[in-house]
Formats: sequence, C-alpha cells, structure tokens
Amino acid sequence: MLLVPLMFAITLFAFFLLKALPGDPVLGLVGERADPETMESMRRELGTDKGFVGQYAGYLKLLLKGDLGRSYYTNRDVLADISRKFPNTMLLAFAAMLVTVPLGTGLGFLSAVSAGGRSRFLERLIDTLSISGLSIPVFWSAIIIMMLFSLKLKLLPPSGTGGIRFLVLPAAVLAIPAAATLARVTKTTVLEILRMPYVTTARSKGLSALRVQLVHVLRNAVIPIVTIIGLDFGSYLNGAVVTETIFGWDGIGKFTMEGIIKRDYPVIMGCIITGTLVFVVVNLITDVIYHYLDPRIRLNVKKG
Amino acid sequence: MLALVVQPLSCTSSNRLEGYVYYRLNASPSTLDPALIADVSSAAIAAKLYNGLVRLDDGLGIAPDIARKWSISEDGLRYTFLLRRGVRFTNGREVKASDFKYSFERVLDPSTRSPNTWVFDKVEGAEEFLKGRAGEVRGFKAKGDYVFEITLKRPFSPFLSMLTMPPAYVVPREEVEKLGADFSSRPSGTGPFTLKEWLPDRELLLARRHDYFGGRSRVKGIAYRIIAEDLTAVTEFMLGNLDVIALPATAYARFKNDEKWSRYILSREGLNTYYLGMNSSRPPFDDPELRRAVSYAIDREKILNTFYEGRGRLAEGPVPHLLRRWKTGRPIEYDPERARRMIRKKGLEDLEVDMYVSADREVVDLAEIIQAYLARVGINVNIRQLEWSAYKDAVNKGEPDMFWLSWWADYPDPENFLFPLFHSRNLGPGGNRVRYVNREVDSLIEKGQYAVDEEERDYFYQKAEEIIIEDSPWVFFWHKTDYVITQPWIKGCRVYPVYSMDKGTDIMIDSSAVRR
Amino acid sequence: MSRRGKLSIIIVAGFLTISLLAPVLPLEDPYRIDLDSIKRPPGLEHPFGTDNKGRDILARVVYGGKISIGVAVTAAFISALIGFGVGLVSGYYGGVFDSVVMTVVDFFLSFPSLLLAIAISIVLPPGIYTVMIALSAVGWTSFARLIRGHVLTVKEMPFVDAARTTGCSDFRILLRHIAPLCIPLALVLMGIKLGGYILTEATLSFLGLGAQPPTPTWGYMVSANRAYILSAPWMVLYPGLAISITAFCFNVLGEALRERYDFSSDIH
Repeated sequence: MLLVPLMFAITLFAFFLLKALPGDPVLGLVGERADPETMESMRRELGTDKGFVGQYAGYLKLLLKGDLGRSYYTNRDVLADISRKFPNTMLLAFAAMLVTVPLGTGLGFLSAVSAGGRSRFLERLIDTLSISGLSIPVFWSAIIIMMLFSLKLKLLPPSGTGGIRFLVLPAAVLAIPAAATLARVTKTTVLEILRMPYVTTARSKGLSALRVQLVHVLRNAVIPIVTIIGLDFGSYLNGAVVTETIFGWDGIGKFTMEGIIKRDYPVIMGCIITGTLVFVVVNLITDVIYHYLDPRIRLNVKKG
Repeated sequence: MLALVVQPLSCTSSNRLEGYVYYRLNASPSTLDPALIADVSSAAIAAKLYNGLVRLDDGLGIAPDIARKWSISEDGLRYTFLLRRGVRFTNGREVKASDFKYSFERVLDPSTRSPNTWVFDKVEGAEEFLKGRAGEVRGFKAKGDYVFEITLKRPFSPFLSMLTMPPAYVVPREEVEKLGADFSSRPSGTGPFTLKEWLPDRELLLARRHDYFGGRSRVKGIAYRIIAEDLTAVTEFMLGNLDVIALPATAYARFKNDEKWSRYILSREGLNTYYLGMNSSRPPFDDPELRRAVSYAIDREKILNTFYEGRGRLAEGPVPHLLRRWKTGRPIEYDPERARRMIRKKGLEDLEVDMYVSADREVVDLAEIIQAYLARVGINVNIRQLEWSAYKDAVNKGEPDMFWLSWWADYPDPENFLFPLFHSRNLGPGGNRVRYVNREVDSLIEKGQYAVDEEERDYFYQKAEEIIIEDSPWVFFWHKTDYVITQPWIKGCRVYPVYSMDKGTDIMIDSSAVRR
Repeated sequence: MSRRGKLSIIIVAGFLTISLLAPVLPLEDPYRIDLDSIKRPPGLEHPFGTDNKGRDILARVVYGGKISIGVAVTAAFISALIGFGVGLVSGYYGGVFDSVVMTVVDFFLSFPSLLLAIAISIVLPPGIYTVMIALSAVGWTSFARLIRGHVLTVKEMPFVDAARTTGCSDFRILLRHIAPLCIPLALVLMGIKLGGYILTEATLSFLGLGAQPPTPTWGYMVSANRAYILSAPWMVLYPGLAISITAFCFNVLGEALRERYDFSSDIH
C-alpha cells in the first residue's frame, strides 16, 4: 500500500524543512521560551550530535511518540492543541461536504443533461458559474460573504460556536470551489456515460432496458465522483486556513495561519503533517469505496 | 416549539449568558498566575481576579486595596501596611500578612521563573534570596496577622506605584502548592470575580463573587470572547453580540462619522509613548545633531492628524502629559529645509540606514511614511519587517539603525518613562533599546529615584527629560489615545489609562435598553 | 476552438500586454504617499480611490497584476520545464527509475497543494522568487505525469523503432523525435494551470509570504486592508475583483484549451 512509504516521505520532508530552518533545529521544535529541561531532553531525543540519518531516526521516534514539539509562543504542547482543534476542522469539512455533494453533483448532472438538449442555456450558465466558483479566492469570498450575510442581511452570525447556524457561512465558503470542481467532473462523467453505446442502444430499445442500464451508469459515474470528493477534501484543508481565520473558527486552519504569522515553526509543521495525514487517510477511504463499488479496480489505481 | 419559532428572529446572535458583559480579546491570555504575567491581556483579566496591597485611583494616585492604611518612614526605607480584616480568598480563608510575604517571595523565587523579579529586587535581602544564598527575603516582614512591612535597600520613590502591578497581587499558598503549574489556568484570589470557565482560544468566563470585600460588582459576570480578526469583532459588535470593544484603528472612522454610534465612543489619553528609536551607540546615529535632523525631517503632526486620524496627542518628550508635572521647552518642529541643511553640512547625503519594524500592518504603513519623509532630506531608509519575537530580539541586540516601538506604563510614575528607557544600566532588553548613554542623565534619574520629597523628584526628572529631548535618541511621535466603544445598554463603562485599574466593578447593563 | 475560447485568448493577451506596459502607461506612481488624500473614494482623480496612505489604488492594482501574472507565467514555465524533463526520461526508460519518480509524483500530489506551498514558503525568505519556487515545486508533478503518459504511447510507435535501428542514440531519439510531439501537450497544460497559479499566488501573498510591501500584490492588498471594508471598501473590493476576474479569464482559456485537446478529465 502506498500509505507507509508516503508517510515516510512526508516525515522526511518535514524533517528536511526542520533542518532547513535557520538556527538550531531544537529551537525549531520548542523555541526559546521552553525551560532548559525540555530543551535538553529534546536535544537528547533528536541526537543533535549524530549524523543526518541518526537525527531523522530521532525525529521519527518523537513523532511516533506523538511529540510534535511545543509552540514558540504559548509553550503549549502542539499535539494537544491540534487534537483539540482538529475535530472542529473536521466538523467544518463535513458540513462543507454536505453542501458540496448535492450542489456539485446536482449542477453537474443538470449541465450534462442540458448539453444534450436543444437549448444549451443551462449548460452554459452552470459552466460559467463553475468557473467563477473556481476563480474567486477563498479569502475574498469569506470576507464578502460575511459582510453580506452577517452584517448587511443579518441572517447568520459571523463567529462563535454552539449551533448549526455558526457553521453555515464558513461551510458555504469552503463549498464554493469544491462544488465547482465537482460540478465539472460530474458533467464530464455523466456526458461520457450518456454517450456510451449501450446507453444509446438501451434508449432505442425502450425504457425498461434504460432503467437496467441506469444502475450501471450510476455505478460507473460514482467512481470518479468519489475520487473528486476525496480530493475536494484537500481543498477544504487548503481553504480552511483562511476561512477559519476570518470566521474565527477554532480549527487547525486558523492554528496554521496564526503559526505562519508568528513564524511558530512547530505549530506550522505540526499542522501540515496532520493535514497531510488526514488527506492521505481520506483518499485511502475513497480507494476502499472504489474497491467496494467495483471489485475489478485494484486498490492501487493511480489517482489523477 | 417556541424555541423553534423564536430562533429565526435572532439568527445572528451568539449564545450569550444573561447578565454578563461581553468583551473581546485578540488572543488567549498566556497565564493568569500574577507572578508570571507579562502581557496586558492577561494582566487586565488578573486585575478582576486578584487584589494587592494598594491600587490606583482615578487621579492615578495610590489608594487602599487590601491595605487600608500605610506609612513610609522618614528615610524612605520602610513601608508599613495595615491590612483590612475579613478579606477572603475564594477558598474561604482570610488573608493574613504572611500571605503577602509568601506571594512576594514567590515572585523572587528562582523556581517560579517569574519575569517580574525586577518589581521586588530593590527590597532588602532580595538579591541574596535570588541567588539562593538565603532561605527568605529579610525585607518582607509579617508583624502579626494584619501588619506587613517592607524594607528597601535604598529609598526608591516609584516603589509604592509598583505595588499596584500584578506581581504584587496576593495568592493563597495552599492553592498554589496544590495545583503547581495548573495554577496558571486555575487562579484563586480575592478579587471581585472568579474564573468560571476557560475554553482556550474561544472564551473566558468570569463570575461575580458575592462576598467581595470591595462590594459586589453590578454585573453577574464578565465574558471575554477571543476573536483574532478585527473585522469579525467589529461585525459581532454591530450585531450586538459584544458589549464593549477596544475600537480598532481601521473601524475608527466608520464609528466616529456615524451619528448613531459616535456618542458611545469613550476615550482616554493613554500612558504610553510611540517613538522612532535611533541606535545611539554607533554611526551614523551616535551623532546627536543627525538625530535632531531626523526629527526636523518628519512632520509628525501631519501624520498624526491624517494617517493616524488624530487618535493621540503629539509627544514633546518621552514622558506622557498625564504624568508630567512640569513644563517642557519648545518641541521640535517640522522643518525639512533645516534638516536638509544639517545633513548637507555633514556631507551625509544619500545616507543608507536600516529600519526594522514588526510585521504589523499599521507599523509597516508608518515606516513607509517615515521612509518617504526621510528620502526628501537625503536619507535612504531600508525597511525590514520581522515577526514579533525575532523583532524584539534584533532590537534588544542593537541590530537596526532605526526601529519603531512604543512603551506603555507599567506603573504611573514618570520614572517608568525615564529609567528603563534611557539609563545606561538598561541597555537592550532592560528597555534602553537605543543604547543611549549619558552619565548626567543617569545621575539625574537616580537622584529622582532616591529623592523622598516629591518636588525634588520632579526637579531631577525634569532636568533629565530636558537633556534627553535635546539629545533626541528618539523621534518622539505621540501618546496614543485609547478608544473604546460600548453598546447603548452599557452604563458605567470607563476607559482606564492603566489596565490594572479596571476591576470590573463599575460597569452595568441597563436591561431595559437591551435590544438585539 | 469555441468562440468563448478565442475571446479568452484575446483578453488574456490583453492582460499580459497591460502588465508588461505598466511603467509607460499614464498611471500614478503606485508607491507615492500623499497624506492629504487619505482614503478617498473612487472619483475622477483616482478612479479606484486611494488607500490609507493616499496611494492610488488603480495604479497599485495594475502593478499588482504585473506581479501576479508575471509570477504565474514564470512558475508555469518552470513547472513545465521540470515536469517535461522528468516525464520524458521517466516515460522513456521506465523501470525502477520510473517507479521511483512516479512515487515521488504521487507524494507531491498527496499534499493539499496550499499546505505544501506554505511549507516551502516559510523556509525561504518571503518574496516573489519564493512564491515562484513554491508554485513550481507543487505544480511540476502534473506535467511529469502527463508527459510521461504521452511518452509511453509515443515510444511504441514505429518511427521510434526505425530511429533506433538506424543507430540513433537514446538522447537523440528523445530530443528530436519524442520531445517535439509532447510540446503542444505541455503548452496546453500550462494554459490550464495558469488560473490556479494566480489564485495560489494571491493566497500566499494574502498570508504574507509573497512580495513584501511596499510592492503591491493583490493578495497582500486584500489582507492588509480587509478591516477597512466597513469604512473604505474600495481598498479591498478592487484588488479582490482583480484576482477573481483575472483568474476567471485564465480559467476560461484553460477550459477552452482542455475542450479543444480533449484530455481525460482528471488532470490537475
């Protein structure tokens, strides 16, 4: 499976970056605010007197123990903070998915159907909307949407926790680019399938045959769509960095942004590793769903 | 069912607690342990949870807190405090003089690793204790349960002011020992509020104490919502979800020009000074004439009135007007021609200098404005932005030629704007970041510190400030005014020049005016 | 090519021209501070208004465009170059090298792209070169995959065999026979990816990792002035619109290219 070498690669990459930082790599993990005991033990773990491989092994050991270091600023354990904030981002991503999937697939389907019809108006409209959705930077749409729906129209709160209404705006912001991609992929897939010979023959044979084929159509359509849903997840993680900041959503996206502004390397690296790990896991799950839907596809299918 | 019907009417409201006043914080407080507090956010909250011997009154004078009376010996060395009876910690136990001895020694104790040891290092026996050569601090004496005495090594005029700061709050020994490091997040004090809940990075809730010795506060509690984005905070305020916010610079114009809101803006001249510091320990700014030329080259008044929208008072010297009991001479005026002449005379045209700034948008903007003014007189400024702790480090080490910084009063005494900033003992991290060394200024400041008589003290400080203004190690910009805006239903809200003055006992919610 | 596609080529060419010509156009100095004209709303003298230091926003938007488009185009070239080379060699020789390379490619594709770009940008000093490096480091993989795929098909073709039997060295075969067939593909992919690069550059600038002030970049302008949206919305509106419209036009172009050349839909 791809997972193990991939995780090796990710941690190696993170370690490269740690070494690339100016200064003592121990400082890259704990910062000067840490007490001398913590720094000493970190130095021992990393083995800063050993060679590159030795240090990498030390770093891996730390990661496996769940030690992502301590924040430069708060001196709090990075993993503890990430564990606390991570579920919030997952909640947001899940909410975004609830919006993306019906919106994206629905629009994509409509677009495909319209493409086959006489007036291609709907198709063109949805195409334009999709491309627009992909062209608006998340940080801008977040600001505009907050101003519009919170301040001007007074429909939803701009920040806070404790109810679904706090999720709506940030989830919608994340959903826009994801739904746009999904719509386009859905449209292409559905079109491809509609054009397939057995579908056209089924049509000419009559309705019942078409119904039998429809299940097959849907089954085949779902596969690339499921892939994109998995990959859209990456876009939620990307978008979360800015969206959570603007809406004050306490997740790892906002944590990453704060880390970036303060150059709090342990926090930044911890978030990137976590984000990537999550992304890999989600894609693994989509692979499994593939397999379930169509056993003829091997697990190691190459993702596009 | 009713809830489902009512809900849509208040879709934009957050989940608020009834009777609580909602404030905003930019970031989570780092700690609520008074001995460890080093930032304003944490200090402002601690002020509501704890008390000390004395506190500040409206006129910035010293008022009783837990000490109801005090006296200072003729020689200025011995401070005797008579404590109130019946002041209780949250665990019910009464505060005794020994508690103060414990709390103060704790700050000096090396194992506490407090950054605030400077508050007490003038006390007799403090040095030995710090170095581990003594088991206690001689200068702190509990004489019975209700008399506490502090003896200093030498007279130090600002000392009483310094006792109003968080490191001088009293903490219960048994709680500190029980909780250890957790005491940072589970404070236990004598203040008008107790910590009800702390959701890190989200919210802090303080609940009112009914047996507070200074009288029950008028609100059920205080909530702090942690909102990092100014835009979000202002939006929340406009929707009625926050009651009081410090008005961000970016929103100032919006509210000031709005009839509905402008009457709810409160302001107070702040105890601070914003300045452009010039490294006086090496060329090119080791030359006082060049430094003065820089002051002539920048039209600070115009910047204050246009870019800064008049949100401050032009500074004539380092000491804020609120603390300056004497008059200064004529301030340096904008005179670019004169600056150009001075620079040409020295043959320094096209001088290149480095200016470091922190990565704050407003600061960067100011730096560019300064850069433009200096370019007009022949000085080329290279701006370098650094993130805050790297910036602090670089400035403390004396790396840049110029830098932009501010100094906020720890305690309301002019000494706080002279000694840390211009005395040669405090080069670098101590506060004297321009590395200014002037023996005469040093000795004048010290004389002021040891003077027992207030008039004498003022005389020395005035002379010291005169020399500093003449020498111009800083371009003195302004004293920033604090602006706060409240909802119409908030009464009794005041802006305090020093954060520790706000114990949260004045503010009130007028429930008849609440409309969300 | 569709009518929309042709239109988008014209518009994109227009953007490119304007950004190249920026210095000679009759614009205000985007760096000039004028404290007497702070936060002026859009009007005759300043069509997009001024910012909180009195600088003309139209000029800053145009110069910002120069940077955004310049960075995106350069990064696209660099990604294409790297990906092209890697894909060519990997596809032709196959074997262990190919497996290793494709694993690396998969690795890079496994990162949420922004996070990877951020990771690279924080290690280097912030600035346009760092952004170019980050964009290229994230983007080359799509080129590698695409070119490799194409090489796999092409290398089985008869004329390649013919070239081999006549004694041409591998290098020559690659360079003179296979590579030219792949170039149109690479160009098309470049066109497709440009819109995404514009957005990523804007986001990195928003985070403060791009060109530093006073250099105007759209992302930084939105970021630094976002709290002013209540009192001087033009400071945020115009840069934001600029990003969206530019990305939109580039994306439309990309879409038209994609339709024309009929790739499989899962190219990133």
